[in-house]
Amino acid sequence: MAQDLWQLRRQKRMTIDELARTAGVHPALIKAYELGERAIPERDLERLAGAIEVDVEEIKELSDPPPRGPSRPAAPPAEDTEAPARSRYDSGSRFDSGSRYGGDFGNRPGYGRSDTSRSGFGGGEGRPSGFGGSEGRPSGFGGSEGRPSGFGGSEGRPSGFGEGEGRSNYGGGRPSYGEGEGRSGYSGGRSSGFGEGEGRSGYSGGRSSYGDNEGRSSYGGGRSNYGDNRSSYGEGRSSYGGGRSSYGDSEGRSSYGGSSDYRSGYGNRPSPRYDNDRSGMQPRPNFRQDRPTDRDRMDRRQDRPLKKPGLKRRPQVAPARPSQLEHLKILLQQLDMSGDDLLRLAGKPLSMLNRREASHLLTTCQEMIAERKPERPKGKRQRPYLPESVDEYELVYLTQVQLDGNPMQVTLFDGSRLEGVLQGFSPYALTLRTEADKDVTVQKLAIAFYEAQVNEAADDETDSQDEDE
Amino acid sequence: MSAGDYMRYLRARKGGPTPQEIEEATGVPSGAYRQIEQRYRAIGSEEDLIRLAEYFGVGLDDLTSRIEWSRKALSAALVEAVERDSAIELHLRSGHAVSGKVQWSDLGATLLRRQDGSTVVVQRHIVDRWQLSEA
Repeated sequence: MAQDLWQLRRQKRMTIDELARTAGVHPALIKAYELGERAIPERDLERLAGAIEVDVEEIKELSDPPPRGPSRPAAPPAEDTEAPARSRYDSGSRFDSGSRYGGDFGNRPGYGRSDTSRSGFGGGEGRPSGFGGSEGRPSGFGGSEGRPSGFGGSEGRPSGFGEGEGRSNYGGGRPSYGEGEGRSGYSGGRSSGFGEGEGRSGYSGGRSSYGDNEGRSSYGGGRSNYGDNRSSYGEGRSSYGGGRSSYGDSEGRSSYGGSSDYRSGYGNRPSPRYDNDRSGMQPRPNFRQDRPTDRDRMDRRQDRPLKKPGLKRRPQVAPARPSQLEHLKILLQQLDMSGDDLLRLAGKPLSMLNRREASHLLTTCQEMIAERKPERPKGKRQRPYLPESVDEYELVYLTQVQLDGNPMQVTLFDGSRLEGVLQGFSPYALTLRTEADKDVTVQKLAIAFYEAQVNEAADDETDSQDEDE
Repeated sequence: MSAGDYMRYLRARKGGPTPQEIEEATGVPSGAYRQIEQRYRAIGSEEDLIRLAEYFGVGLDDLTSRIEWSRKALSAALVEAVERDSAIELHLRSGHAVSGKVQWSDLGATLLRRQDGSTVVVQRHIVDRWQLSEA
């Protein structure tokens, strides 16, 4: 029995990168295959099978995504319990519309129950099925009138994809795939087929169809198919899309089932290029209206497997900086806090704090220290403890002395004295005019102290101004 | 007087060599002498202080003993004198002693009002020792 690629890879204890290297397939592609985002094309199937050392048939062409973590809700069970569980179309939430199809198809069994088919879309076992053939003949897809036909076959002849007048009834008796007077169901904009009722072909509609490289919808993408507005077939990355897929596969390994019937429909012919060759197609109609709504997108998101699970991690906070810890220790000393107090405050030892916690703790400690300090009296200027930061008092004093014009006596560090009227000054020197009318500049470094007569009123005024500040 | 102030004084007494000249003469690392002199604090390794003491012709104790009489310590004493409203007696390197109540003090100087009401501005770099008087 075929298994998912990821299962086989894990059984072989290989990483994606290892598998990619061995098989020569890009790791991103392998991820997409494993997540079921893309069907595995034949060429890659062979490579992967060779790398894992299994037969090609042992690998599911379209994997079910690996089980997710517990935080992701499981997919709801399919409503149609009659539908076979082996196809992705009825097992997952992506195609959770077993009942839809059933309803649309007149409550017939969902997607077919053919033993010969590996896909839900394969033919039916003599019963009319959703997509399967009818009238007891297994058909690839929508055979008509009891004859094996490829897809929307016509008049009993094996045909490619719905050329001719094939009448099949997918829509509860309505003509479908091939209907449209010789136009292929795939290309015909007028064909009804799946798009019946809205005047557009299921196959060609929207982002189309078989082999759409975008891997989008298959049967006409969008909603029109089967009249279901939320369509299923076309949804997301259906296996039909899958790019290369499907119908053109001469070995019948398509998502549609690859049954013998299917092969009979297509297998002996050159692979029709439904994926690329649109030369015979009519111009694409404007399907703007078929674009998925926001709600559709929401549904898709819910159904889509997680991209790169496990990569979204919460950013880790770096451990506390050494400077933070050092600062904390100093503050804790100021607070006279012991180790137990710290544990109560921080909830953990200092060494285990991260940067954010240390920052919070620093703030807390500083607030506690601020609360302990007595409030400073307002209105009274506090003199800085380090007067090195203030050099204005002497400036104010000397300015007043200079304005008064009173003589001043300067005593130098060697004990000598100098007397004169202050003419000017700088932070480093005084210039005095001596009695001999000579200007002498004395470096302050040479001065021990000086005395001068200062106008008391002016001095008081200076003091009051200082207090006002 | 801090070690820095004292060395500036010694440098002046020696004729005013530049800090670079002193560093070249003593082998003290470049910039170290200027830092010692300008920061007014006890910095520099003991080895540097030994070389400088030899250069200026003073004892090592004369330099190192000034560590505790730094400008910062003088600032603390002046602030305390203001807060206590008490007089402070300053012993100057010149041999003088000046006493009075602190009126103001800043980076370079402090104004004391003597008991007779006269004022005197003392340059801080010349203060060698100090003592607070009882109020």
